[in-house]
Amino acid sequence: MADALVGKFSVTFVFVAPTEEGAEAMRTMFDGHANFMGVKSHEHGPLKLIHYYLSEGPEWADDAPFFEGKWPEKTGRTVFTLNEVYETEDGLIHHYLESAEFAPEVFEIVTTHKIELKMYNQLKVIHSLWD
Amino acid sequence: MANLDGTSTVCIVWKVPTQEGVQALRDFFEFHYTYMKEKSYQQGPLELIQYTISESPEYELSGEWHDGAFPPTTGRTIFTLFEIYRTPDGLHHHMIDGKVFASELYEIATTYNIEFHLMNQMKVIQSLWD
Repeated sequence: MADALVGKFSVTFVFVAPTEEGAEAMRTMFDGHANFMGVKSHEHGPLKLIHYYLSEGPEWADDAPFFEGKWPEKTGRTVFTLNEVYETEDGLIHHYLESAEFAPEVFEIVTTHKIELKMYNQLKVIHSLWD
Repeated sequence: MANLDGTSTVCIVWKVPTQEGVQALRDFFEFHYTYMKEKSYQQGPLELIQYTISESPEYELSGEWHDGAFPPTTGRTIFTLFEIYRTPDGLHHHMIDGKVFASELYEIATTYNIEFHLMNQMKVIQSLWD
């Protein structure tokens, strides 16, 4: 089956940490955030959190070598992507209201460690695989 | 879905300034989705676990979300792509297979002044649910 997530709502954060100290500060924050998500998120109903996944990787200097089966050089920075998928728009709005307590800590870490932050909110899934 | 910890992901973000660019990407994604559905592995070491493409207006970076309000939109449109593979090899294999699309994607981005960022070979370090 395909398209199981079409019509669901997601938010994506991208953090780029220029130093290992900044990366470690983010990891520590994310540990607290994961605990919060596990306790507060709804597993059922209209506010349901369907997926939550946080990824980490090096920042790569160039994309093109991947298409040739090669690995580009690293820039030395660390990238984190966080993706949350909710059953409804209301589920995502509700999460933002509840997570207000995290915002000051996140912005403090971002400022202190000169971390680049991008947030893409209220995205609607238009294609998905699989179930 | 089972816990995703340890799986491999790629994320691409596109920022599109015009409706013509938005339509060009939507058309491309229709094609790409069909390709992924036909070509991707549903089991084994090269397994594609999940594939999503999402779309929204771009919002100004703001804390207003925490007050239940929507910040102003910038006029651009955002697309995000996430692909999750069982192993780094699955993702690596897909990138080599995807070479056929790369030139078309770069051409669309250039033609329509689309900004894009590719974050490749990431590893999932936290996930919900079990």
